[in-house]
Amino acid sequence: MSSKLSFLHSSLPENLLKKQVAPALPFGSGIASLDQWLDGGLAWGKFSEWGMPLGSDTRKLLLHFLKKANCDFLWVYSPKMGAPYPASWASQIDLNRAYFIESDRPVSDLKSCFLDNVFRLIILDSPQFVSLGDLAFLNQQCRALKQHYFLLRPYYLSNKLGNAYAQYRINVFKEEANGYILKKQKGIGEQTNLHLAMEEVVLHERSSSFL
Amino acid sequence: MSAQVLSFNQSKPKNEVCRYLVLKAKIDKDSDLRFSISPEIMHWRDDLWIIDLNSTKRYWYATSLQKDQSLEDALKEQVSNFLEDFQWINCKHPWQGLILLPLLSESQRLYYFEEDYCQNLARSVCWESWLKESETLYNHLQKLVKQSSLNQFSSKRSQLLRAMDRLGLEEVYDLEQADTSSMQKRFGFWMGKLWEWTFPNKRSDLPLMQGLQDLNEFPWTCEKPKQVALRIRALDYSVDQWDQLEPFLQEDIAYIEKSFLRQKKISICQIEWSLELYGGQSFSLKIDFRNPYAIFEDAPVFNTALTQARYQFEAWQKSLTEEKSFHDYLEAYKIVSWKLEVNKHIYLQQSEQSLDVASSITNYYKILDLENKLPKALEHYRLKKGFAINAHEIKEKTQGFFTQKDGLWTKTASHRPLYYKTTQKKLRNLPYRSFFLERNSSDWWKEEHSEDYNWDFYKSHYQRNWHWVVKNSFGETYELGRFD
Repeated sequence: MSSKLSFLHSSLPENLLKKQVAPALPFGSGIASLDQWLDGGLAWGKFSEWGMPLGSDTRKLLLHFLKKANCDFLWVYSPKMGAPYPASWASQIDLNRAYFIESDRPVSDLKSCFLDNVFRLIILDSPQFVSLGDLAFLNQQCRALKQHYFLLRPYYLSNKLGNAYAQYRINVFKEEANGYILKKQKGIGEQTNLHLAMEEVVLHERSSSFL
Repeated sequence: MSAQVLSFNQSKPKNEVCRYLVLKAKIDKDSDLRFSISPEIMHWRDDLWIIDLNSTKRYWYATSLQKDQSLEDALKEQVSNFLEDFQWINCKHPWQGLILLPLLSESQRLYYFEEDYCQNLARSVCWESWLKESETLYNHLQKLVKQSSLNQFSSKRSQLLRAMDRLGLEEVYDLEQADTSSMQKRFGFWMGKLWEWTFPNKRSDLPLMQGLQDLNEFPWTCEKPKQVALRIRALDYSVDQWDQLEPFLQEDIAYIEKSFLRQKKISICQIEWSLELYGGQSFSLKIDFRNPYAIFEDAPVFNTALTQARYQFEAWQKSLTEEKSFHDYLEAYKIVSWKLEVNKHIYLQQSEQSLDVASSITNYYKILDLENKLPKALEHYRLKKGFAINAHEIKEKTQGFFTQKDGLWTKTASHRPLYYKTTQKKLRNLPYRSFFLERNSSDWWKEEHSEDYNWDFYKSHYQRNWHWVVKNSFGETYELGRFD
């Protein structure tokens, strides 16, 4: 670097210098077709919204992302969900990485969790009270702390009520015999629908099992 | 439906560190070193101490991870820092440790009440030995309960000894199968309690978190620190809003930290905040920290302490507004003064954190710190070494968690839902659209399981949802959870 350039570099404010660092690579699920559909995976510093009604047996699909990310995560569940059943979680993820807490108002009750990057992944499972202001706050925090938040809705998402802050808005359906069907309401990528065959998911589960 | 159907299957590891430690050692009664392992320590008599690990176990677990050693070794290292010669035993209830400790010979080795060696020793405990500590128990009870409830303590004890002599039963374990209520009926309330403390009732293993046995009327008196860290504040004007009192509270916490805690690097576990109201009433709020709180590291803002204080203050205000009329609230329920006192503290000889420590372990410390700022505790599960599909099908895994491949286990667990219902709902019959998942069989050759020995698990679709359903040997069907 020439002396002029080095002078310029040293005079840059600290926050601009930080921006020169390459952004963290997105994290995927490890399932090739799903990651391709998501244009490489989910980005750090963003949050995604998922339409997963209760009783639809779709949440296990997300565990692939958690396993692949390999970091401590916080799963915030609504009181109406019941209690986490660790044996089932342990069959797919490393329980040492998993922390749970019950809350229906995650943003107001658990603010400290969003002010620090102790957990790089936070999953808000069917919270009853999340306002637009809360969404803006979540968006700001995950961008600042380079985290990723999953917001799981207990209903299917619609385009009538959008979400300007989410990177992806995806509805997930499950057909017992055929596998998962994912429909993108918002997000990057050409295809809006993805049919994820059950064989592919099971094959991936078996190959990546840590047990 | 009994919890048996949902017996979620943890076998009992024999050297899992339990809640209480009974320690025999010469410790200076005024020394801060008493609080080296836990803020909750009780002086039983002479050189016998009882330590409650409830509030610090997770901290020690983090320390053991950091030092790459077992929890037992981490505790031993800490005790060895201030004691040279000691004997100790780990147990679920202090009474178990108190009866067995005199029989143990080896110093410094941590004995577990549930390990085979101790269980064999316990089988040889005679009635006199079992009641040896009852004198001290009586002295402690005198300070805590009414004399009238202790009137028959000595007579019932003698009655018990006479009865056992007459029956020719020499050892306590000869009556192992005896029911607590029967003992209580024949030999009085306190003898019944001693029995229950020695042979605690079998409890359900739901929820899956490790069940902590409570003291069950054991006379627990916690040791207090010799030097009391406190600060009294009289306000110039009465206040009832958090924003008004927060700066004063912060100032007081800073004073306590600077004057009492900073130099000795004392971490705190509980602060008592006694409020004096304009109407003359006084209230006491307990500001609890789930893990030892290194307050000197949080200076000068004391974010954690203030957050926990705010939770307590808001809960108290909510209870006040529910109880009193709005008018009363305005007039008399404003705060005019308070006393802030550190009730429980722990003296940790902080080891320097090495740079080589894996990030996941340093993150564990951060999580403990974060937990202190939350309104409720984080749930963290781990599967014990002896985890199996079913309580009756114990597959010992010797090294760590799931080092052996176990196809059957993974297959069944992956077909169970992520959440279960804490109360089970009975269904009329098995829903039409049901898929069989697995069958669990109990020890049908044992009398207690001889009738209901097969449980079939199904994934059933009804009311537009997928449910987890079980059918027992009698054909009864229950909904256990939902596949979300």
